Amino acid sequence: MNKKTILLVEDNPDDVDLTLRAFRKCLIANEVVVARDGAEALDYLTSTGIYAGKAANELPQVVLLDLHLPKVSGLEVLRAIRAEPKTKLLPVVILTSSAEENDILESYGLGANSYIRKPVDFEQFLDAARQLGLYWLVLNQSPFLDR
Amino acid sequence: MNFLDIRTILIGFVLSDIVCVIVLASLWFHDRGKFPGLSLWAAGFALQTASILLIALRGFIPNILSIVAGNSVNVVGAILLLVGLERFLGVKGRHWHNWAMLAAFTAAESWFALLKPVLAARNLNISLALLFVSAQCSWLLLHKAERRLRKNGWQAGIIFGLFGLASVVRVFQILLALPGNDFLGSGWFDATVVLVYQMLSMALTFSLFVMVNRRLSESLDDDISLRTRIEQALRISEANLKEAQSIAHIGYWSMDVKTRDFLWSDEVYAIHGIPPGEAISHDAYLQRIHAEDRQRVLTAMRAAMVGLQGEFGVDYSIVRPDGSRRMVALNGKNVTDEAGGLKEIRGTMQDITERKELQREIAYLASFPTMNSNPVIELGIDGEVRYANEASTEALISLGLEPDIRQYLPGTPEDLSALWSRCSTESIAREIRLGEATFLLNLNASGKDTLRIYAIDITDRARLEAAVKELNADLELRVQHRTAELVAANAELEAFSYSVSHDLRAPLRSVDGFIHAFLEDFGTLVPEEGLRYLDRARNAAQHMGQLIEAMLQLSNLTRSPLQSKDTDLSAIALEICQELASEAPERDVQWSVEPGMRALADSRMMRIVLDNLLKNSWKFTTKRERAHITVGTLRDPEHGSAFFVRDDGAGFDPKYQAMLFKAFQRLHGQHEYPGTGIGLATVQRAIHRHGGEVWATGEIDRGATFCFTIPTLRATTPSSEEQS
Repeated sequence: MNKKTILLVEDNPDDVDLTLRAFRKCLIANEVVVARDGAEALDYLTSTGIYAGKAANELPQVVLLDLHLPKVSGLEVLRAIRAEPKTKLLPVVILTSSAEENDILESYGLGANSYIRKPVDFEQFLDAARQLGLYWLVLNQSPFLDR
Repeated sequence: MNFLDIRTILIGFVLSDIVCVIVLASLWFHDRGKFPGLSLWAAGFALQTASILLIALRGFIPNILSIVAGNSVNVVGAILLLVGLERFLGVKGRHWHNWAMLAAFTAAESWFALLKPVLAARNLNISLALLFVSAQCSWLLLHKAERRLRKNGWQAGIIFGLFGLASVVRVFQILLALPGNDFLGSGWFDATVVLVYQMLSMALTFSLFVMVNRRLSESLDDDISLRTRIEQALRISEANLKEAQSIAHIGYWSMDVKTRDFLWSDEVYAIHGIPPGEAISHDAYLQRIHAEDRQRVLTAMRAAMVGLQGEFGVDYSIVRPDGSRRMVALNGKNVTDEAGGLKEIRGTMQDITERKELQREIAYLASFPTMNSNPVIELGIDGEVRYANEASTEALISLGLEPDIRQYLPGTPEDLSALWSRCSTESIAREIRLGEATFLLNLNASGKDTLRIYAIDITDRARLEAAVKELNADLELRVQHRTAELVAANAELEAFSYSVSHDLRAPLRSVDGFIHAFLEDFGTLVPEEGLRYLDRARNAAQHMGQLIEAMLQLSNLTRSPLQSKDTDLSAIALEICQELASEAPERDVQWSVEPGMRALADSRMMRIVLDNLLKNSWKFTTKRERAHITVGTLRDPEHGSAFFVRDDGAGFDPKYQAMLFKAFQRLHGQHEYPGTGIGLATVQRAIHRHGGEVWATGEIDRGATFCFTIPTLRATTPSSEEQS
């Protein structure tokens, strides 16, 4: 069970810390891998670049993906995940500040499994993180049955 | 001894015959020019008189004279009488048989008088000769002549018949009782015959006289009737002439050169409006001529009077006594007397007022095409130019082209008739270029075989059109540029919004999140007051979050396309009210939403509008123990049918009304009624995008009413439904 990692793709260190804190507060003890930009996220998923040593078949339980990212944008990352046969079934939750209609529609269009808008109010954010963890890590049946 | 002495009777016969000759000679003398043949009658009777005288002188003169010549002359006289009658009656006769008879008679008479004297044979001879001639005369008068003339001469015819009868009786008497050889010694019978002849001669003279007289009186009757007819014809012709004059308004006039007085026909009087018959002196005549024309007429007349001009004609105006003007044409010529001196001037006068008016009218109408500054042309389908106004050639000349119109007109002679039939249903417009200029030709069929062409110089228009086209193209280009700029600006705005939505919220979240974390982790270390400060910092961050949210909504309203459809405003309002009520179940708010409010509008925007307005009402009625919020329709005098949201909350000061709909403008303190100050600006933006109006009325503590219109307002029912 401990192998159920979460890939958090987020460039804002504040957001990273707050998110991790929220998980901690909600008693989500799973390993959280943080990618600081889109390229790093893709490296992790494909075991290339700085993650070249990682086992190729090790995939996170869920990807929490911000949209506004340096280098490779969140939507590009999503497109790449869905384009790669190995990762195309990977659950991807968009976790972002944007409530732009276009972003929402495009994300779902590219195959996002969920779209969550980060609230400004930290208490609301905590609540969102709790529900997120409960749903994706506990309730949701992962497509990768072999692990 | 005989009772009757023949010689004495013969002498009497001679005397009475002389009277007859005189009568006939005088008849001939009077009417010799009127009727032919009268001279022959006189001559015939004269010869008869001579023959009887010769017979009466028997014994005193030789027998050849007395018997042969006497009787032959008698027969010649009778024949002359016959010829005279024929001429008088207009009958042509031949007389060779009479002259042959005369020859035979003379021969027989000579034989029986000189060689073998037999009185009975001589008597028979003369009787047969006279019977022969008198029978012809009688036949002529009673049968042969024209019926009309027979009527006058039948008495003479009978008398000739009686002559013949006497001769026949005598022939019978001779055959029955031969006389002796001495004629003068003849008995009573011969004496009676001579007397009968004498009577008949006188009767004949009388009857001839009567015949001539009857013919005279008849021809006199003829003359009279001819004269009557001529007079009648003259009268008719005169009446016709008069009528013709009055129809043609032509009269005739003459002026005596010496007295200078005028003679006018009735029509000339009529033309002048003067009763006929009034004496017209020279001055009176001049008086009627219009002052402007007087000198001209005088000059023309004087030229004729002094013989400079044989004939003259002058048109001028006259003024009638009633003041009306007429135009007349005066034509005249001078007439000389037998000695060659100038006697009078004579001529005609015609009223040409109508003709002149018609000419003026024609000239007036003709001035339209002639004075038209645009070319007007009539072209026969044979290709011949029938008419072209001056403007046509002037246009060509001003363009420096050869002024031959035909070569610039459309259509070869072959297809002109096809063109004509196309034009006969509706006119055809064609543009042609002539040098630098452009003309618009309007072709119409006129008459049986002509095309009327109205041309307009549209050079300037064509030039303008080209300029407009160029401008349009330029404008199009500018619009493209501007559109591109707008698209770029929109993209920038979008990027900005995105940035606001994403990037501005992240730091806020950090602020809030870390304060939250700090409080959680180190809250116990912070004094009471420090905790309050941190709380305020969090509130501020959250308020800013709301502001960003509201601004995003406002900008979204501007950017997203309007999708109008039939929208149920009542349903939306009810839904929002229920949401609000469920969020704060402790509040006592009376809702009233009018059912059936619909509008052709973007339903999302309408939701934002109603959401903002109702939340406003909700917010500003928090201090009311029992609040009332009403959504409905009203009729505004200025805007017509409008929707409204009314509450009985805090209201607002009307003097700040203008600020209500401005973004970030607030009439209440944050502490009193929290808010972003963007809600009403958002409402206004949404309504304006629909082309509607939004306004508010209110008073402090008396509530507020927000009204808005959507131009395509639909089915609204005035009744309200209470909901709580």
